[in-house]
Amino acid sequence: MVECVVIRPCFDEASSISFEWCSEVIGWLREKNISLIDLAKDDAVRSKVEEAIQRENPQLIVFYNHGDTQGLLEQDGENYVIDKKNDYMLSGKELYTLACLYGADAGIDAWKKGAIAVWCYTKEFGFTTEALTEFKNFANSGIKFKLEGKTWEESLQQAKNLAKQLCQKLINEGKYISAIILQQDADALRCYTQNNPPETSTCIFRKLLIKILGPQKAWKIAGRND
Amino acid sequence: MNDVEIMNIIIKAIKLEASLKPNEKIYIGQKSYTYAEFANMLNNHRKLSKDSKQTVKSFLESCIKLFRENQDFREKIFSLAGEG
Repeated sequence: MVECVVIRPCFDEASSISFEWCSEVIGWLREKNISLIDLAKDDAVRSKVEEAIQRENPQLIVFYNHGDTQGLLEQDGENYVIDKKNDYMLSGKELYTLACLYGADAGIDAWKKGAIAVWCYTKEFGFTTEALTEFKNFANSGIKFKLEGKTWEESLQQAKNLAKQLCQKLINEGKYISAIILQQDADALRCYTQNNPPETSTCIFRKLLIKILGPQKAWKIAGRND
Repeated sequence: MNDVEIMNIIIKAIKLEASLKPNEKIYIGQKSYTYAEFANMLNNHRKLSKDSKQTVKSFLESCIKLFRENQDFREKIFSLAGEG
């Protein structure tokens, strides 16, 4: 049994960069003696991901690559490794992902089906070539804080604080486009947990409740399943 | 200062920054742009695809937020755009 499954496709310029960022995360996991399976490149496909999750029952799943509102994309970007059809497999687990837009819909679905934590972005994740180090530091910060012993909620707050510092650094260096993109990433970052539920829902009734009562109370009414 | 006035100043500054950095690129999702290509998208909304329009909209929203909340950013953008 392993504690973590890492999934990192690599098939275009952007994913070749995020692939390398993920190497740093793998290093941290190994330093903490967390056993892991690295499903990289051609191994980052749905069948192998499903098999690894079923066989190993890992606590943590790390995904570094593209995604959209419907799921997390597999190698070559044609299909999903995880989408709404198999995200029941994330029940009781923690998911850390860099994927664009996953938090807008499918990430909420995974949380509704029992995922303990879903680290995700509600909009597209962007980065620039002139500030690769800053974007890597931000992208990897949540898992770093978690491995240091913080809760997911604390890690989220620390990641947002780090984004402010990095943004200021980029402004001071005259890298305004990079600062704006980093600000956008930070604004889109979410971590759905029991204490930090999504601020929206596809259910009209739930949406109304969130507006009236706020996310915490609204998601307590009738549980997560709608 | 309203959002449109802020956007015009920021776009002016960003175009200038882009012209100074011809080799730098932005990756957003599965797409990549040179700084110049991206800067040109900012005030050519009508010619853009639905996805690109959304990308530009999100970018400009973050621009305005940063402009309103960060004094350093505001001052440097004014300076770069040759305003004030």
